[in-house]
Amino acid sequence: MRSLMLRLLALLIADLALAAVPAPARFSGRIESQEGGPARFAQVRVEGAALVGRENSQVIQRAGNDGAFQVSLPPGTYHVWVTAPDHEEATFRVEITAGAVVTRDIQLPALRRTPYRVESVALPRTMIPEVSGVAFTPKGSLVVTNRRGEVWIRPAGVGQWRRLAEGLHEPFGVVAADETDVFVIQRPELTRLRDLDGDGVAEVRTTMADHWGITGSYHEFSYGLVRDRAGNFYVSSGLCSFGRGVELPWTRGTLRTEQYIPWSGPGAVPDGHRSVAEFQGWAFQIGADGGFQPYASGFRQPLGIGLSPADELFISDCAGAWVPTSVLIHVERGAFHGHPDSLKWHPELRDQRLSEAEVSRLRRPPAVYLPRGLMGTSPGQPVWDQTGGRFGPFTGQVFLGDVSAVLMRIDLEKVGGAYQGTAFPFLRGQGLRMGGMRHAFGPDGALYLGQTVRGWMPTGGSEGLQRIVWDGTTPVEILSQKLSPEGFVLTFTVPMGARAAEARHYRVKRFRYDHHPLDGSLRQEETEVPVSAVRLEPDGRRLHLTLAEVQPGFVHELTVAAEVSSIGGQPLLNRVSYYTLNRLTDGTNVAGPSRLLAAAAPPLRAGDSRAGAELYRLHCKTCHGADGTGSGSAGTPDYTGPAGLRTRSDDELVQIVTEGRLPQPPAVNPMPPWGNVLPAQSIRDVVAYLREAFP
Amino acid sequence: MRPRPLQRHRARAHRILGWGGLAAILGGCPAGAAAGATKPGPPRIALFGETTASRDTLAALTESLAPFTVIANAPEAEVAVVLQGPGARGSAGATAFASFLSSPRSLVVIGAEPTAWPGAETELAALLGATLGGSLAQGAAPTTLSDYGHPITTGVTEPPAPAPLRRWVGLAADTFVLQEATAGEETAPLAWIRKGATHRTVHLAALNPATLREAAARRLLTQAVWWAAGKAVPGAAPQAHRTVLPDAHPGSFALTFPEGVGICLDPVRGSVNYLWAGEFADLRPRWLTKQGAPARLDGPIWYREAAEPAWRTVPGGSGASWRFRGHTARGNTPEFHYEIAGRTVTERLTALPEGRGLTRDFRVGPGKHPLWLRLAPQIGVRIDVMGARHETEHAGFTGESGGEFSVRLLRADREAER
Repeated sequence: MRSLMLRLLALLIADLALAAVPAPARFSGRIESQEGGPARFAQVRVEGAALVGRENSQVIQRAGNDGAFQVSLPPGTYHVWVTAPDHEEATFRVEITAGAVVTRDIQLPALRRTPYRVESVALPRTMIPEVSGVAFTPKGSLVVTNRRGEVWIRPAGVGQWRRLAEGLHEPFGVVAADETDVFVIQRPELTRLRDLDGDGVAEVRTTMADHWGITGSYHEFSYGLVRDRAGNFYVSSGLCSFGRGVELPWTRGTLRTEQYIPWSGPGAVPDGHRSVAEFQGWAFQIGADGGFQPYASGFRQPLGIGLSPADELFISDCAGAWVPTSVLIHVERGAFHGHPDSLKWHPELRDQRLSEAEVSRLRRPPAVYLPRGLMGTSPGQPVWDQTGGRFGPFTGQVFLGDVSAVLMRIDLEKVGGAYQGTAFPFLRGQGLRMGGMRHAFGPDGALYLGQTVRGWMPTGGSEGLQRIVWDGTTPVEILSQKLSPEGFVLTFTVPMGARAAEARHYRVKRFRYDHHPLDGSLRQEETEVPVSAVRLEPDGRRLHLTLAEVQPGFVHELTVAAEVSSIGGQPLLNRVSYYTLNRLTDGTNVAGPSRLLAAAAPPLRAGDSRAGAELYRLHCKTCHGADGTGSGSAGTPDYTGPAGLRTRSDDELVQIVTEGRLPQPPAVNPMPPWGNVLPAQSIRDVVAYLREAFP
Repeated sequence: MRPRPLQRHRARAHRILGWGGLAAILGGCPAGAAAGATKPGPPRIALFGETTASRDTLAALTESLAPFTVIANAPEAEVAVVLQGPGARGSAGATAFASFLSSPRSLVVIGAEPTAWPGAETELAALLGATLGGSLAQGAAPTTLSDYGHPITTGVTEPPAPAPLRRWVGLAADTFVLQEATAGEETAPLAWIRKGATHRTVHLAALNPATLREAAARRLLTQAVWWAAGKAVPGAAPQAHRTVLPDAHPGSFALTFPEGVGICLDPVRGSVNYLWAGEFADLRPRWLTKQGAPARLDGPIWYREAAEPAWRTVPGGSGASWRFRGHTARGNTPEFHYEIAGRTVTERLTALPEGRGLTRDFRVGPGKHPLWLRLAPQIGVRIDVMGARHETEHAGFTGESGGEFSVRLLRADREAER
């Protein structure tokens, strides 16, 4: 009887909840190529404030083979991006009212041809083409792994493949010392494979390291593999998808299922990825002797690992909870990069229960954000062009594939002692398959891309091994984009025509992301940054771009007008770039007061003390105390004392919270700046709460 | 009835192609005989099939089946080899085949053709566990060929898969796919097996009279007959795959021997989690969906250990410190390497013939700590320990200078049969 009543009550609650939700509307249409027919592998990305707080703050839908799409949305205003391989993207806004049916057909223009040819590399018919690792031996033999657990080798100068090993557990990276000595990262261990008897099959499989935990979760991978000059290997471990296949007693190592920062929002945890087994969400260093060192933490799905020519470690991570969009991270020993669940295995922080605010302060920002859309969705392995010009003019730059048919180019620079830089699209479609996970430059100067998408996307023709070959013609591109005190200095690959010297052809927007437990982040505080001047040097290649304001803490999106072309009249192949500006050229990493925000932001309301109380609880309480009495160890003042907050005006308090600085000189940092964490309105709410709670 | 080697049938077969069935070539086939018991040596086989087969096909069949003895009295055969089908309803072949199948019997079917079966698709679905679902990718040539590592596919480097391929669908839950072809988004099984309590079925779906001219096809057929007869396939080697197995830590080894012994070797425990009666672990559930499922075993488990650590320094004590150090796969004897309580330990695994059990040979390096291996006495299993102390639930090696010891796990039912 009691059970029946509970069920009736649950039904009643469900009915009430349904009644409270506005009727969803339907947004549909068809995506076609201007050259005729549906655009293959097209996708529609919809984002808008009405989606914030849902499990996915964006809706991404792949169009059908006929180009048709249909999305159900709550009423609101949405920003729509339409992308398809081999085509220019389309963006527009759409207004959706309750119950409406909005139809929009989109025609995408084709991309221009590039001097890079994408070719398939023939694989044996008996190799499942889920290529999960690519490497070359010093002699130039090509070695690949696949997710089915095989290692294949194509000896240099021989077209014939042979299988070196099989039966491995989901290998996801390979380093080849020579044709008979190969290292593979498989899910449970780093393994050395050796063919000692010369029969072409590795009969010896030595376990070098297996110190990390594993569960039966399907979404649990060990990623790699790179080796530095000292012989150390680097591996990363993704979080597992909690709730599927995770069970004792069949977890290797300790199992900790609780969240490091428990989800405090409504409903279920938005992102089920969790670090439940040891060192999930970490990067490890494994010495030549098998010595295991946890190296850095805070990763979600760190799919790609690369070493710069100077042996600096870089890792790409995938968007989701705490990773607002995909990123390329410069990883240093001991650093924490964002996802707090990995802290469960941190030797000092594992049981400290840091707050969200404290975790935010620990987080080392990524070198480069890869905004979803043009920059793909799940980036693969970063590789450095060290071909000495055999792959075009990009020597020293980073190439990064993606699970969508995108190849990105990254131009890094060190500013204030830390890496940041620009992400450019390089190829979008143009013959690329999906699933670009593992890459290597070959002895022929071509870039080899191993691709696997099994289970995530249709596989027909979407997997395998491709190589990208440069035909020797200089591509018309922005070769580099560096930060200057005034804005950016662009270097083009070829001399540009007169229109390149006109400021009106350059549009810059900036935005930042929220690192939060929701799955991905919207662009926050997206603002136009006027280009106040440009100066093209006489060589026609270097352009100085002066911005109305240069602020750290933002991604800067640069769009160059289609009118800008080379002296020879060739347009740019890619006209959009994203510069992640963590630090100004003088090393400053805290944003100052912004004229632009004041102009662009909607008028702020008076502070809401109730909202402020919740924010105080979430972000301030740890250091300032629930009762506002502060903490000697944290160095925070007592708001309830005689001076309290009464000596400060509201504007001063807003400034302290925003910038972390006292308003009068000498400026010091009494606390971390919250301007990059909380929107301006939220800071006003916090101040309203402070006034009310500690009058 | 006196067995007649196949070679002696060849000339006669050519003379009588027009008679309407291979069974007819073999003479009379009295109905109602029980299935022949498995006997030592090469299996005795019966042949069924329409005689539209060409001279070349018959020659290929002859070569494939040369190791075996073809008998005319089908009910006495251990395995029936059926080329496409026994014949339409009412034919001599169909009648003989019905006699053969009066009780469940082992079959190797080459490229089943529904029209060549008396019961057409219904009969095929019951026997083979699948139905025809059109052609693969509208007749396109496959781009990828998968081989899942079974004794039947030993040495077949590329599965025969001539386009257009038929797409068999609706595979029954007790089927195990050994080879399949993929074209675009479509996949079709090329060969699969079923195992009953007393009989086995193999369907080499991609083979046909034309493909039988290829060496790979003939090899598949020969090996299928060995397996269907319940005998180890000559030349087949053990297979080792690290994967997700039921009741084991992820990354455990599915180690299968052609003798019919399957082993779940768990490197996290450092021992055998269980043994099953079979020679195949089906990894397709791992691969074919996004989330995957544990690999499937092709037979029942007959020995099982608990999840606790396998090695101790005192019997009944806590787990010894240890690390898995890898494995080697030389010849037909896989070796696994450990470091346990500071001592090197190498384990060699050998299957006993006819699936009777497993021998675990340990080589222990010098060290101070005695090593005790946890055993799990249970009904239906005999445990022998040689070269070490045997206590009820442990084998103890106490020599400090190192040495060797062995543990043998024997299926009591198979021992009784002997």
